Amino acid sequence: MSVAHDGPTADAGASVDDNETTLRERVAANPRPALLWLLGVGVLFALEMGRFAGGIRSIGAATGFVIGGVAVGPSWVEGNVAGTLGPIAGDIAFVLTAVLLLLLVAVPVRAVLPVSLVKTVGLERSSETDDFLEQVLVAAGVGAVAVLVVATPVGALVDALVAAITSVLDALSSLPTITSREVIPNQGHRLPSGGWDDTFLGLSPAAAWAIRVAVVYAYAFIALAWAWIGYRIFREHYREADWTPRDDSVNRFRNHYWGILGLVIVFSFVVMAMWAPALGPTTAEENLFSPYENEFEYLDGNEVVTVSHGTANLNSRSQGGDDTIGPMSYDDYNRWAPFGTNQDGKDLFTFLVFGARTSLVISLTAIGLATSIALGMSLITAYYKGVIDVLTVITSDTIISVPAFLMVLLLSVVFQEANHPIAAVYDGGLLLALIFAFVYWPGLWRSIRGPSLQVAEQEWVDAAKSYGQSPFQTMRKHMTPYIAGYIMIYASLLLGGIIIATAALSFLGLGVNPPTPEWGRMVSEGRSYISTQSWHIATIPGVFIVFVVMGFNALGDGIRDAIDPESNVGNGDTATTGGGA
Amino acid sequence: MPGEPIVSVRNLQTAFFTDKETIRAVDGVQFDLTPGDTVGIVGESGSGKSVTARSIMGLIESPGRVLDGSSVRFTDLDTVREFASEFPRRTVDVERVAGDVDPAALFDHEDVGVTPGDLGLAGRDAATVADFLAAGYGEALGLADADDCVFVTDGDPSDPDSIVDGFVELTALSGKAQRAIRGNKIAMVFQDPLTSLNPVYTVGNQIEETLALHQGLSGNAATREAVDLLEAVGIPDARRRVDEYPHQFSGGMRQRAVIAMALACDPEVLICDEPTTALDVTIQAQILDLIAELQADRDLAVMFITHDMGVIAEVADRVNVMYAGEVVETATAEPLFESPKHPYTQGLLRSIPGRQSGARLETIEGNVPTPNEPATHCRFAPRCPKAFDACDQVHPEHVSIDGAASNHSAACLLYPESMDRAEAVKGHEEGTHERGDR
Repeated sequence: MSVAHDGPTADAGASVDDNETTLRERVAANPRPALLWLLGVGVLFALEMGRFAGGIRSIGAATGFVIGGVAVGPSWVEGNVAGTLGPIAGDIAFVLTAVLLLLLVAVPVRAVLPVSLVKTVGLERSSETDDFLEQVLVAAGVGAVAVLVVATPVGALVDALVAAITSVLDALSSLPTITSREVIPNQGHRLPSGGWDDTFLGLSPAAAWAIRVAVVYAYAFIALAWAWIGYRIFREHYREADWTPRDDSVNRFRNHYWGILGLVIVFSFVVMAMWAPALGPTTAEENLFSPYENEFEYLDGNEVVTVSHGTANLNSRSQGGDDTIGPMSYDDYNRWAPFGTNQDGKDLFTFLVFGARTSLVISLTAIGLATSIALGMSLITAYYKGVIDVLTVITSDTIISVPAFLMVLLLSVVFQEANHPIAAVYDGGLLLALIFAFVYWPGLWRSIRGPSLQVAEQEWVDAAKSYGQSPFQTMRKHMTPYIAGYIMIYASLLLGGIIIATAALSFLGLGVNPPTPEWGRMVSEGRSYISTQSWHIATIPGVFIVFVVMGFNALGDGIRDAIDPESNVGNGDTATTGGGA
Repeated sequence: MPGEPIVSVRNLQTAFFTDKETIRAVDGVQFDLTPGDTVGIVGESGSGKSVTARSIMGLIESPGRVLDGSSVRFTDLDTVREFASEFPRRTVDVERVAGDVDPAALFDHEDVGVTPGDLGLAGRDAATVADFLAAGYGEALGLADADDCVFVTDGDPSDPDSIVDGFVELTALSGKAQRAIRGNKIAMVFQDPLTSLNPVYTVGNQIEETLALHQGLSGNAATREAVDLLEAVGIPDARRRVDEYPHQFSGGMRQRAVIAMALACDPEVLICDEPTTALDVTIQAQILDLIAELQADRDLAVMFITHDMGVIAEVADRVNVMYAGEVVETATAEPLFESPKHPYTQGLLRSIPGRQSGARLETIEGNVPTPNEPATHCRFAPRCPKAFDACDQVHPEHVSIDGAASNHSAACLLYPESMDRAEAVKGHEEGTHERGDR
């Protein structure tokens, strides 16, 4: 990483020699590689403009939803309290809640404010009170803005602005993107005269679908490669340091073929989840979720007739025997089924790509939570030691002492039987993620406990303390970089474990409930047909699980060897065997 | 003695509580640090040198703890004023809380575990309430809170300019107040320059971090200051090297960078914990010169820890010889090397090549014992060539070697020299000798 000096550079220019420049100046001195790269980024961005705009729009909508929720908080509390204790108590509760919320909101606002209000206003007294005063001032500022928006015409102005931005984004997101279904449609019907109607260039649905899948993956891998090229350009042309300790890790990973294979598999899996709506030969909405409310046309004899997906699915079921719609075939309604259909006649490929989404969301949420808990606890226990360390050891030992899978089963049964509201979100997906995070953080914490204790004993941590660095900053700047590598390895290895466990739970009927697609459930549902013509229903999702888990493990191995300076992958001969063990 | 001390260490006791035993790594140490002066601390491994330094910095970690009765006062007046206005809630007006409390009677309080001798006082009547507050008994006596750390003995704490006397008690510091002392007032240079710099950040980045903490500098201003500092410690081509990583520096360069980092916030006191042990002899000499130069420039009070008698002879104005957690002999450098009094010091000096009496290099037999119980005898007795019967029964007091108040004192039953042995031992036993380490 280079040291990017921000701040005024014009006045410094005179006294500073050419060794000390900002990234901007370095780019200005040699703009060609950077411009070429940015041009590429621009092209990639333009090709998928609609998707990006849609993404921004949904983030904006989610933010608006959260702000709205927070804003009605005080009124909601007022209503509740007024209902039981009378209107005056309600008013007091309203004010208290509003003040509390303002103080809470002030925390993140303070972090981004470039100046200290206390210093600006000149209220500095002593460092004991400054902190609190600053918080109050920021909260007051936020409150003033809120009142301005709610009670004055400024509010209408803000609304109009938001509406304008939304409509622009709407317009942008309706633009066709290169990977969208609309640009390369594959759902059409045969014409009485032969040939196909409504498909891409009149090609067969199979060909159109194959082209779309190829375009999606080509786009994703080109974007990945372009990001790598960008890093290389930065390293070669614009970074101040010739070499940083991270370079060695990157170089080691480049020569680690097993790790790269893992990266490719994991990346393909992520692409599958991200582009799920574009990859499926049909959409999840019409084929999986509400098949009877969506219709399509097909050629029956000599005339084109309309039929609902539900009806068509009934006649395309793969339940063994000769009726099976196997992989790479059309069903009786000329719908292309790359992986065949399942026992309900639903398209297996569509099910799989949306199942990838489910697996990814659950495993990433779980791993994110578990990793943050484990990292936080390991830093705190290594830094402070003593009682908090003992308490954490006892807690984690308690959780670990129950076999992990039993614990997961137990918790998921308890919550599902109780019909807890959490169990309803994402058809049980969120519940699963929370349970996994709870069950697996002690393991993660234990695996990074050694390195954390080690780094806490390093002299540079003592040195940081000895020049007065705060505990939080010491942990963040001087301890986390050392542990980050370890936690990445364990997290990527555990990710595979969570995907398997989710599948296993769904196989047992305790995981993700229908209609949300999940690979393990498909294995479970297809297993009675494994010895029949419909062998593909359980086999294909099973193979996918195996590959994805293997991919995550390989990636973990690769990262481990890359960050371990004593591993010798650079020589090539250990690279092929290193990860296989 | 030159000047007023800026740091006064009194009865410093640091113990580590393990499941098996309690190790008294530092047991009743006292000395002063004065601006412009270097105090050397010398002793074998395990004698408690580093723990003394870390206790002053507040870097003792669980299971270790600085015990009640210990006091490390930071007496710089500007700092006291600054702290009194910054931390009004942790400031104590000693005159006000003392009221009509009789300090001499406080020694009989059940929670007070020190004697006047421990605190380095002539007798019960010499004690003041401030002594008890500094020793951490404020809460037990109901005079102050446990986290009070600024004690104003003369002046009005609410009006910082009126303060003329007071101190910051380093052993009572925590949180923000502690971070305001560290680096800014007292800085430390560690033993191994390879590990005291974080390998993942550039040297400049780490110096800038310190600058940002205490002087609020950032961006180009901080970079320029970092370059100036690196130049000040004699790193050539500092502009280029400020953006290099620690591994790109040689050992001597790294230690220079660490010193630059320690000096970044212009501290009053510099603690050097064996700063030259990891370096070869020529580089060692350069670093010693550098520290001496910086000390002269900035009027630093330096505490220099080493196990190397040769180094200590070169740098120290005053030398404390430590053995098993105790200071066994203290004197200005010249008399100590010319006529060492404690048998341990004599042994140490004889074991330097070239100073032995015979053809073979002399050694002190055995190892430093682990000080795991309160001292009831001389801890050096088992290894001492001059030990006699009383050494196993009587713990030696720290006495002036010749009876009168002088700068040279030792904790040994052989002294004071002016008394005969039985009389001297009796004095040690009853604690009637005048203490010699102040």
